[in-house]
Parts: sequence; C-alpha cells; structure tokens
Amino acid sequence: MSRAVVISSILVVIILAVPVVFPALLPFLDPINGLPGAALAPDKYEGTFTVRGLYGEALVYYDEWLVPHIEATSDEAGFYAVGWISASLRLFQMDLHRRVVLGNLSSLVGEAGLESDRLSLLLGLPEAIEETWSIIESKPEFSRVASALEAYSRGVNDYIEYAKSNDLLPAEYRVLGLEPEPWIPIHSLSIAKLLSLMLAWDTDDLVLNELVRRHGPDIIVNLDIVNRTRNLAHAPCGEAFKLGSIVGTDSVNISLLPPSALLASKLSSIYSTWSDASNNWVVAPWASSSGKPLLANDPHLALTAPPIWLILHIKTPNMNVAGVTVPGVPFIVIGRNLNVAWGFTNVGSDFVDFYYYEWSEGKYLYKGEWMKPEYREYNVKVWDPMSRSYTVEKIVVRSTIHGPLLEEGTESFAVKFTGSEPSLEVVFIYMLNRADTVDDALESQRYFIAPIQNFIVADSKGNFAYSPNGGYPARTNLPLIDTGYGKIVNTGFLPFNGSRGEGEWTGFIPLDELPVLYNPDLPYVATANSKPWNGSCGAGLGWNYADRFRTLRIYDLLDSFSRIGPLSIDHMSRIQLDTRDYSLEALASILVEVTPRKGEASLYVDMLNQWLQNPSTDIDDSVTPLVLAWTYYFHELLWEELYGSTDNRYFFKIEHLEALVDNYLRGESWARRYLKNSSLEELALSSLERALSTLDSIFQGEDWRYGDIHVYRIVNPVLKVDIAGDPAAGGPYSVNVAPPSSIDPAMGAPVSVGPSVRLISDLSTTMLHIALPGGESGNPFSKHYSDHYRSFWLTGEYYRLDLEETHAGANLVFSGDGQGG
Amino acid sequence: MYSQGMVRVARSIIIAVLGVALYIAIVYLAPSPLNIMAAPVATGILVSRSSRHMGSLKAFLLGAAVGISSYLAFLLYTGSLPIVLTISMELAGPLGVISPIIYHGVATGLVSLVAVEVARS
Repeated sequence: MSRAVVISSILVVIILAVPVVFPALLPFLDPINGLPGAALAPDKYEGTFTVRGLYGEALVYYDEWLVPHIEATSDEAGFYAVGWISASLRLFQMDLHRRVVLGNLSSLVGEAGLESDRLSLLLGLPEAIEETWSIIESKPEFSRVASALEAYSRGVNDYIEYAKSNDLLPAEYRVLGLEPEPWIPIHSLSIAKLLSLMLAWDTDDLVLNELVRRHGPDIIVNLDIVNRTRNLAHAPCGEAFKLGSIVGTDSVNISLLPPSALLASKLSSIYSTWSDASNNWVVAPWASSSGKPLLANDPHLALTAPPIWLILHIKTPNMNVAGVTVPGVPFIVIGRNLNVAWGFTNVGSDFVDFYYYEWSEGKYLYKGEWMKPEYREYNVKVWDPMSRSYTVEKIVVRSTIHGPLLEEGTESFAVKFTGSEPSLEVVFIYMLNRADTVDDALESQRYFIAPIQNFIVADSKGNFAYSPNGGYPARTNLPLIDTGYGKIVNTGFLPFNGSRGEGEWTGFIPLDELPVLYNPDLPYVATANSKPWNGSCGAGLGWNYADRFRTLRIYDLLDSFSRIGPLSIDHMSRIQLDTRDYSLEALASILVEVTPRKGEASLYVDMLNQWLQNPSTDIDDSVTPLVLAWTYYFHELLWEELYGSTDNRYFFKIEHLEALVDNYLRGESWARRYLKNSSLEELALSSLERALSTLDSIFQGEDWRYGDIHVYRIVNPVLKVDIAGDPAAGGPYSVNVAPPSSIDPAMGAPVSVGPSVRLISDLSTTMLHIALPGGESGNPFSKHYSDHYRSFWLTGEYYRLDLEETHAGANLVFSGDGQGG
Repeated sequence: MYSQGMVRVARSIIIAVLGVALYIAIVYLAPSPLNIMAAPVATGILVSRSSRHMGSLKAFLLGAAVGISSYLAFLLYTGSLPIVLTISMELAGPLGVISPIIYHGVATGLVSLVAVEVARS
C-alpha cells in the first residue's frame, strides 16, 4: 500500500474524530441534529392529541401572524394548551428566564451566567418562590391558581417530550448541546419574580452613598435628588390619601459612611441593559370619541429576539382574555378581556435597603449584641459548551438579621429587597384576567407586592382608575440627616446603620392607606415613570423616578389633540409613535447657554440653536447626530466629574443636571465645589470635542444622518443574530423611546431598549391593537421570528385582535379523557 | 453511439447523485454523531466505484464535491443557509462557517481516494 494511502487513511480517521474530540463543533457539522436542523421545526402544529387525565378539550387556531387563539371547554384544558403552545413557540426563552431567578443560569449558558446566579442566590429568590408556591398550594382560596399552574406545567412538559422525540428542540439547545429539563409550577412563579429583579432591584442607595462620601450630604438637597421638585407628577394628590407622616428619630453623621463605588458598579452592571421606563395612559369616556375609555400602554424593556412578550388569546367558559404574557406565565400580563383593559409602568420607588455594621472577630453588632452571621451554601453547576461537561462552583452567602450580605473585600452591606419576599403577583394577574369591572381589578391588586407598578385600568361601563400601589416597605427608626441645608429623614435612599437598628422593615404599608384615583374629574391620566403624585401624597415613598420629559410630552399631546376634538385610537397611536424628545431639547438649551462662543464652537452652538427652532429626531435629520452625541458626552463628563467614574451614569437624572447647572450659573459656591477639576464651560467644550471626534470617525467625511448612527439592534442572547439594523428615530426620552446603549466610533449609537410591546384598547369594542418588536416564534429560521417587527412595530402599524372573532377549522386539538374539573 | 468517455461521465454523474442521496439518508437516519462519521465513509466508498478509472486527485475531488453538495443541499432545501452562515459566523467566526465545508468535503474526498487506491492495489 502506498504511503499516500496510509497518510490519507490517517487523515480520514483524524477528521472523522473531530465531532467526538471537539463536540462544540458538532452543531455546525451535523445538518440534521445540529443548528440547521432547527429549520425543520414547523411553525404551526396540526392534529389531535389525546391527553390522559385532562378534563375538557382545547382547540388552537393560529392566525396568519402565528398568534394562537385557544378555545377550551374548561380552564384546565385551556391552561394545558397555553403551556403546550408557549413551549412550542418559546421553549428556550422560558428556560433561560426561569434559570435567571432560580440561580442556575450558568448550567445552561456557562460562565456567562455565573454573576447573575450569584445575585439571585444571594437575594434568596429561589427560596422566595418556593415559599410562594407552598402558600398557593396550601390555601384553598388559591386552589384554582394552583390548578392553572399545574395544567400549564403539564402542557409544557408534554411539548418537551414531543419535541425531544421528534427532533424539534430549539436552535439554542442544539448549539449548547443541552436538553430542557421538566417544568414545574415554581418555574412560572420564577418568571413573575424575574420582573421584580428587572424592575425593582437597584443599587442606587450605594451610588448616592458614594456621592455623599465625595461631596457631603448637602448634595442630596442641592441636586434635588430626593424631593424631585422639577419632576412632573402623573396625577393630583387625592383627598383620600392618609399616609402616616414620616418622622426622623435621631441625627447621624452621614459622612462617616464607607465608600462603596466598586460594589455599586459591580452589581448594577448585571442588569444595566434593562430599562425600567414605560408609558401608559387612560382617556375618560367623556373625552373619547367612542364614549368609552381608551387605554394605551408600552412598557420599555430590552429589545431582544425573540421579544420578551408573547401574544395570546385564551377563551374558556370563565374568561375571554387577550394580550401579552411573558412566556412561562399562563396568564395575560398586559391586555384586556371583554370588559376590562389594563396596563403598567414601573414606579421608581425604593424597594431595596442596605445596612452596614460594626464588625469584630467575624461578628456584627446589632442593638448592643454581637451576633454571628448565618451561612447558606450553594453548589452551582456551570456548563462548558466546548467540552460538553459541567464544573461545580461553590457560592457561600452570609446573612445578618436584615438580610444577605453583599461583600467585596472588606466592604459589606446587608440587603433587604421586596423581591426576596414571597409574593402573590401571579394571583393578582389570574384575578385580573377575570375581572369584570375596575373595582374587581383594584380588589385583585391586594395580592400585588413587587415590582410596584403604575396600574391603569378601565372598564366597558366607563370607569377608570390609577393606582400606583403594591408593597411599599414600612420602615421604623429612621435617622435624621443634617445636610447643612436643612435636615431630612433617610427614608431608605441611603444605607442604614444596621448596628443601631435603623430603617428596619415592619411589613408593608397597608393598601387601604395608599391613594387611588377612581373616576377622577380629569380627561385623562398618564404615567411615564415620573413621581406618582404631586403635593405631599407620595412623600417618602420613592425618589429615583424617571425625569419628567415623557410624562410632559404625553400630557402635551393629549392636551393638543383634545383641544381639536374627542380622542380616538388614532391619537393613541400617534402618541405612542411620537419621537420628539424634550430631554435633548433641555440639554441642548443648556449647552447653548454654557458653551463659550469661541472659534469652531460658536458654529456648533449656532447649529444647536437652529435645531432648537425645529427640534426633529427624524432619521434623515443632519443635526440630531451632533445633538445626541454632544448631550450624551456632556452628561457623561459631568457625571464623571461628580462620581469619579462613568459607571452608574443612569443614576444622574437630567433634572439633577439641571439643578447643578442652574445653580452653577447663579454662582452658588456648592455647585463650583462639586465641579472641582473642570468648569462647566470646559466640560461643554470637551464634550463637543468628543462628539465631533466620534462623528468624524463614524461618518468619515460623509454628510451626517441620524438614522446612520442611531440604529435598532435586536439580538438573540445566545445565537447573537440581529433581526433589526434599521434606523431609529427618537431619543432617550421620546415617548417612542430609543435610548442609545452607548455612543462610540465603532458601534455608533445602537438602540437595544425600546417599547417592548405597544397595546391600545378601546372599551367600546372588543378589539386590541398590538405591536410586538419581533414575532411569535422563537425559532430564528421561521418567518414568524420577526414578522410583527417588520410589518407592525417598525412601520407604526398594529396587529388587531378581536376577542369575539370566531374561528373555523382548528389547527390543533387537545382532547382530554379526564373526569376532573 | 456514445463514446466510452461519455459513458464514464454519465456514470460519474449518476453515482454522484446517488452519493448525495446516500449521504443525506445516513445523516438523516443515523444517530448523532455516528451519522456524520458514517456518511462520508459510505459515500466515499460509493463514489470510488465510479472513480477507479480516474486518478487519485480526481477521486478526491469528486468525493469532496459530493460531501459538500450533500451538506449544502440540505441547507438549501430548508432555506436555512443564510441564517446558518450568520449564526455560525457570530458564534464561531470563520471556523464556524468553513468547518462543515472542510469536514464533509475533505472526509468524503479522502475516503474516496483511499477506496480507489485500495481497489487498485
């Protein structure tokens, strides 16, 4: 045999061994079982499945946009079908989300999930949802919710088995070399908890602590950080509001607090891409063209592929409800039924407190007594997709009487977080789906703890209400802080001295003590993450609200449209799609005022001035790139001057910046003290220089065009494929929000946060208008992966769903042989 | 009548088509990763049946063409080619894109070459 044959034979053996030696390459080599095989999965499933032990029958109709309409003869069959269908559309996404909260994300995605797992385990989220489930399971009044969760789990698990036996697993599992584990009701609860983690968890107290450490406690008053007097309230203070006055007990020397910048930076980075902004509003029946309330909602979250939300329509003898859910939750989270429509935006209240202690020999001092911290230990499995094997990482959590300790070197804080408590949001959503009136909906809110939402609800009888309520912590022993500019009570915006027993939680403020707007004498009520109430109503309940700009713009638009005539669905849509950004205008005005008019700078100041005459953020505008980049860097440089780094810049609201600039220009000594290294004028010029340098790098001498740098990026978290790449109008505070995640020469100004869904309901009809930034399918090979994005969301159109539409010829039938009910 | 050369070409084409069919059948039916190991071997041997009159290089090239065509045929049939290329590029860079081409092509080509040489000896 020739040498060539021997060498070739050896090469053949080596090449054929590649899939065994390098299993990570298998998904790319195997066209059937690997990545390309996911293209074989159908969009719509057809046929009849007999389900043993299931009571009733569920028919599933897919429409042309792959939206499933489920009609069932029993709730049990309905929720079974919802589970099966949700898994068939979004199984990997459901798996990913449950693991974020369960603290075992790294057993799916590897080391990239370890930081997230550490945080979830540290906050005790798995224990909180287990406790929640034991409450739901054991109390008779929640038995229907428990049954729904169990039927849903069964549907998910039956689909998992079906997918495994028919080679239909999603592309992500094929790439990672894993299979899904069974679904249990706790996993649905974990998805609800995920929303708390996304929307209520923050380390703002530590960021403020660092600001105070650097500049003194007067910065709290001078930058208007807690009182937010420049903010615009959503609603007028109601007469019924009877919150007990908050009284400080003792003065403390706040400047002795330890530094914590490193800790704050590390913890916030995990979820820094999530946004907690949103819009919703309701129009009174007498201001609406239909004579019934109109309700609109667009929650702003990370834009991902597939999208966070899934559109569902569920009809059983007990309900007919449609809208969007987070896959993994059997119920409609935002939407409407025949009689009631509802929507949410996040309340920027304070749901996290931090406690520091005196320590000695491993013990902490608590009210005069030295105590040993408790220990919890977790072994987290970390998947290595390269070797297709697990390693084990040990995570140890120490806790004090107040909660788990966040530790970094010698620095430590105990943390108390509403999301760590067992809570019944899933019961609230279940009841909301079945509500017949606004009263029913408000009653169901008794089960809502976190994340607290600006809840807006309306019914077909013409009632409407606004209730920004939920689990506001009731705190005792609040310290009084002398800022040098007056004394203020630390209601939780700064860490508490745990050794002195400050700021301890005694439970939640009773719902009956919190205010609600119910059929107010107002033509509309709008919320956009600003402070809920004007006057004294909301004092002490929160402080880190979003700037006023979206709230102001929505009210301006509602005012201007309603001056012409009654408000219609078309007006709701025009408001949701509005791209004017008052925040850019406010910052541009400041730059015009503070930038020295010398040399080239005066040319650009003139450009800003001209832009302010007609402040457009259209994609074809040629000045907006400068406005965005200059204001972005100005904000960043000012924050860096105050904070010492650009980390946590989201903390620095534009209203804080306005307070600083106004007082600086008035010659206040404290404002000049805060800006130790550079004057305001120098910062304006430096930021212009950076903006011009970035724009030069991006455009390379070509004409500036906003849509060339400000571009949607909607990416699959595992497969990294981007469905978008389209130019984005608007800005960080337009109603149709489009904040750049950064601005740099390499990436431009990518937009990965925005309206995660747009919904509009007119209570005079049974229609629901929905625009989803993606598609129903989680399969990147499906045409339904991005069809809603291209056909509706991006073009400003809406998918229309009629709750009373009848369907013929079910695609899929789940037929039970059970005798339950 | 047909020349001997034309008959050989026709025979090669038929065997190549049969090779693609055999390749896809094995990849489809056998469990992973055995499927992608067995397919180049079986197909390479089949292709070598039409390659004995060729040189080793031609046998290798015909085998490689059949291996690559089989892989691409599947991607084209399902319409997954552009997305597979995008995802492969994002996740594994150029290696993710070219490794299937190299694997299916070189493995089948080499098996074909070896089979031809063994048959000749």
